Amino acid sequence: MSEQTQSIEHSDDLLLDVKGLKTHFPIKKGLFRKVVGHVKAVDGVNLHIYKGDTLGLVGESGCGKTTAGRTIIRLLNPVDGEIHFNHPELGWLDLAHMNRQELAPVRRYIQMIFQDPFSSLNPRLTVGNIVGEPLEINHIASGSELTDRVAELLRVVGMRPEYMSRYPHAFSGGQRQRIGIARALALNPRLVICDEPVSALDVSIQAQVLNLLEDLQSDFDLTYLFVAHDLSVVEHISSRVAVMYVGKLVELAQTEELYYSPKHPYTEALMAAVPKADPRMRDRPIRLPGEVANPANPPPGCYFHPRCRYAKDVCSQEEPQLRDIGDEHWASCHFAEQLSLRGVLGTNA
Amino acid sequence: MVEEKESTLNQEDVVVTEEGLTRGEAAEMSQTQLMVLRFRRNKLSMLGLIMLAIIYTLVAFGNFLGPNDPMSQNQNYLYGPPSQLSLRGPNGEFGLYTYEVSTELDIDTFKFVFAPGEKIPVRFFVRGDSYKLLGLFQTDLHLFGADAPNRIYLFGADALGRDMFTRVLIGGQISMTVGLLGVLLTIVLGSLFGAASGYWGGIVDDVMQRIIEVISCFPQIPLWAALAAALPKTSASFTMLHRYFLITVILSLVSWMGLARQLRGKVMAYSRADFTSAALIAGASDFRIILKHMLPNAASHIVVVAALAVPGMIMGETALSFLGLGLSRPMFSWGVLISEAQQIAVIIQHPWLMIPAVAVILAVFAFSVLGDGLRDAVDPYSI
Amino acid sequence: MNNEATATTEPVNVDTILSIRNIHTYFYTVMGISRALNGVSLDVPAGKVMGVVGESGCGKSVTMLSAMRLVLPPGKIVKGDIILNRLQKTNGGFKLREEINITQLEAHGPQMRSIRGGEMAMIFQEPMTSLNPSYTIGNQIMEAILLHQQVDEAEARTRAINILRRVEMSNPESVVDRYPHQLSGGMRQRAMIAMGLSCTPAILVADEPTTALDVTTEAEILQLMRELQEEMGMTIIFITHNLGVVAQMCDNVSVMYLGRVVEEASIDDTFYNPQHPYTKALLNSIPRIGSRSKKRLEPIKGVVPDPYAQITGCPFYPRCTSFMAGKCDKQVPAMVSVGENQKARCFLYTDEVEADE
Repeated sequence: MSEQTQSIEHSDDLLLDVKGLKTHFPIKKGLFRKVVGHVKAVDGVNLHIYKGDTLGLVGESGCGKTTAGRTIIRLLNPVDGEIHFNHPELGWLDLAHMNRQELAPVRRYIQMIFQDPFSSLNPRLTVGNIVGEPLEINHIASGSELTDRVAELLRVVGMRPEYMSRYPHAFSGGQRQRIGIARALALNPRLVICDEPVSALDVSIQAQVLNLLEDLQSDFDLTYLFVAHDLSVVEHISSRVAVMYVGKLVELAQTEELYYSPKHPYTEALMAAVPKADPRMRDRPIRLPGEVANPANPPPGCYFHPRCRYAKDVCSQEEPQLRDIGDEHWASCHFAEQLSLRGVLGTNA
Repeated sequence: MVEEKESTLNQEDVVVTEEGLTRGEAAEMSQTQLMVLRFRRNKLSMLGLIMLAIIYTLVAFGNFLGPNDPMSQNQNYLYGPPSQLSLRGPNGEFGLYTYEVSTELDIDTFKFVFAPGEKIPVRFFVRGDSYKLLGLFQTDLHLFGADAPNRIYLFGADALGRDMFTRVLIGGQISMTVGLLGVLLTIVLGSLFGAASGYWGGIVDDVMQRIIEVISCFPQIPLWAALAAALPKTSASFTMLHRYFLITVILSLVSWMGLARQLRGKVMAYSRADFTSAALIAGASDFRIILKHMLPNAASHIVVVAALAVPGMIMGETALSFLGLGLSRPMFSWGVLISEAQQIAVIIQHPWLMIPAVAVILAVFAFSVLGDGLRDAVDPYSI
Repeated sequence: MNNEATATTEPVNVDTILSIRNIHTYFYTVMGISRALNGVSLDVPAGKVMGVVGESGCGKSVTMLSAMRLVLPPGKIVKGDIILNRLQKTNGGFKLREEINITQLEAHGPQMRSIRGGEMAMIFQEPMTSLNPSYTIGNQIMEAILLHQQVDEAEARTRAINILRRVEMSNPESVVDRYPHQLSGGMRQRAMIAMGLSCTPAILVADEPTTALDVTTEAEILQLMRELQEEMGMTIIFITHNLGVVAQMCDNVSVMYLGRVVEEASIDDTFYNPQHPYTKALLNSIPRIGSRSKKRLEPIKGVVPDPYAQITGCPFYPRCTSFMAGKCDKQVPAMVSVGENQKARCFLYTDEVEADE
């Protein structure tokens, strides 16, 4: 597991500190559904986010970033690890093994924005009901006060309050995402997990929603964990970025550092592969041989070693740990300090 | 604060539906209203709906519409044919008339022969046999009839000289309500099992699915027959009405599985949807989620499955009664009436005894097209 | 049905392989008429990669489906012509051998079926739904080969294996007998490309072929397509909404909005010298990796309008920052030249109005 060799100090400007998070899904076979193995969707993830920051979480399909996000918000149960959250009233709490009751006072401070604008809104409820539900459930407002709060939330995301009597089917993808954002803000959360919030939207609408998210962050003091696969979007909105590969975190650094001078070979491959919106930047991608490792049966040592062009013997024997190699740039590679890797611009910028 | 920069084109007034609704209006319509709109566009289903409305009205007012008491026997009109009607009176006047009928026993064939005699007028809103309208008030008003002692038998008479027209209407009361009551029970059982299975999954789901599979293995009609045969004979403590209700229970016990399975699938899908996750992270209880999120979304499917299950119940009751295992005398339904016409010889000579079968066909057809239309309205993308 | 295939008397040097002229494709539905294509004209240069760019609802897919005569009822090509030029490669360029008006052919007739798959092939976004799960990869590729080429099964199988090798599928001899669900996303997409290329088509239409793929796989597939295109001299029409992919793949670009082409330009002009307000707005609204700019994104205001709504005038006017009241909302501007090999449809550059409406 990618264990950190150094611990993060739980200072007051830190909001979230995740250590060794593991979420495994059992594989059942046979008549009596015996558990024959596990899909190790998240297998030892360490990350931390400071208040007011945006941490981008990237990786390709199957890397576990969505599972990680859902585990942190406790929609899924981790099998191991710690989720330390700096609760505004109760101080530092470890959410990893709390039950439903214990989580109740925490729920309002961690919310989520979902990817699919169509399945994230109950088609049977009006927009007003949808946005107001968190307030109702937590007995925060009712009656006309509830209506006022909902109106205010809609205004904040740039929608007319009159729309609260309408149903989701009347709205476009971008507008539905706004409704979802309004719902997420209803309880005044501190941490918002954005699970691919713009992936399903048209290109010209993405900008609207991204700008909205940025504005809301400064207006309401929000902290974001931004899970996405589009590296251009993540570069734009994040102050720091973490890269995942087959359930593990392989690199975490300031955005500029990660994109322009990465320290992990997988990050280098990702940066080289992203299609740049500039016809003068046409270069050959780094070819990664083989297929992505199987999370139910990962290779020994470093999970990436079979496809890595810098791999040496030690890589197949010892798993590298996520360590700070200087200036809060974390990487889990045995040769992180020695390698000089290409960034997005093709040179060591 | 961010302001949504609106485009300079107002789209609120764009007409977006066939019926001429604008975008603004359509936006405020709930899923239910949209489904009703889609349903209304389907001509065949609307026909089914109208047919059912007519059938239910006719059977509800059966005693009023039928000129005779359904139980009274007429020794003079055993297996009597349908009364003939004429639009001309004895002197050529215009109006609705029927014939006096005299009965004679033909010595050679040993059969009764019915000869039409004088023309007599058909009266409307006559006083006749008394009954309780809608089970509530005693009255003796009938829509039409003939002057005593003549009687009109629009659909002829059966082996005991009872009026088939009135009997078809009254028998319909049982046949058409058995389906509804049975379906109610099916909805309750099916929803409970299906929702529990789909939402909690795991062991609950496994156990329930195995139960459903075991019950489904039993062949339907023999199971019904066995259960019905196990009911006690009618007595003072176990009346016809008791038997009637237990028959409906039996019918629904065997048919709730289809709904349970369908609902399980739907609830599973909904419980994994993001809107459910959103409710969970807001702190909603399972109870709230099932009540406010699962059931409203599943309701439309429940309605469809229920509507499509009714024909099965009607046929089931008809089958049971036909086999003599259903209602006990003197209660009767269309199934009982059909069973009284079992012998080929009887049917050939007295074909009007098969009219109750036509009634069954019409009712089942109406429910089927209604159910199909509902399903298309609820989920236009399903096959 | 008359076939307007005419052999020209003297071979002309042409560089257009497919000419789409003023195509109107409408969908007649319960809700009204959706004018998916409202006068689309495109000239596809031979031997190059042309990008067709636009967001959802612009009609880019319908344009190519119309060209392949794959538009099914309630859709119908109401007006316009699509001319396929059968070209012969020469030293200097191309010579025209024959011209065929595709719109005049029967959509499911023998001629069109021969063209479809034989001369014009198409690959799609979702390989899982485009490949038949009940047949092996080999079977599906062989089906195309056997339909268009006069060979026997054994030869078809050899060709299938060869084309799989060409698309850099590892272990082509064993993959040829596998089913789609046994392959990964990237492999399935390679299989689909193999299917498309199996009959060496003159034109390959790729409809968002890499949208569903991971970025590392996408990069490889794009690289592969570029190599094959150079090797085979094939024309590729690349439909996408991803401007990054456009920049990496295309030689020239057609930008579409709401059923019309609004700009045509070379790849460099598209990115460094866009003329149409929509193109400019699109480029300003996307985050560009490597730009190192922390500038706020400029979204395009409003939403894409309802396809059933009738908009008089330029389709983009409700969202345009250069909107001129009284002009843009009254008539549709004509497509005019705004530079060398660049055209735009905007009243900023012309007063000419679109001829036929």
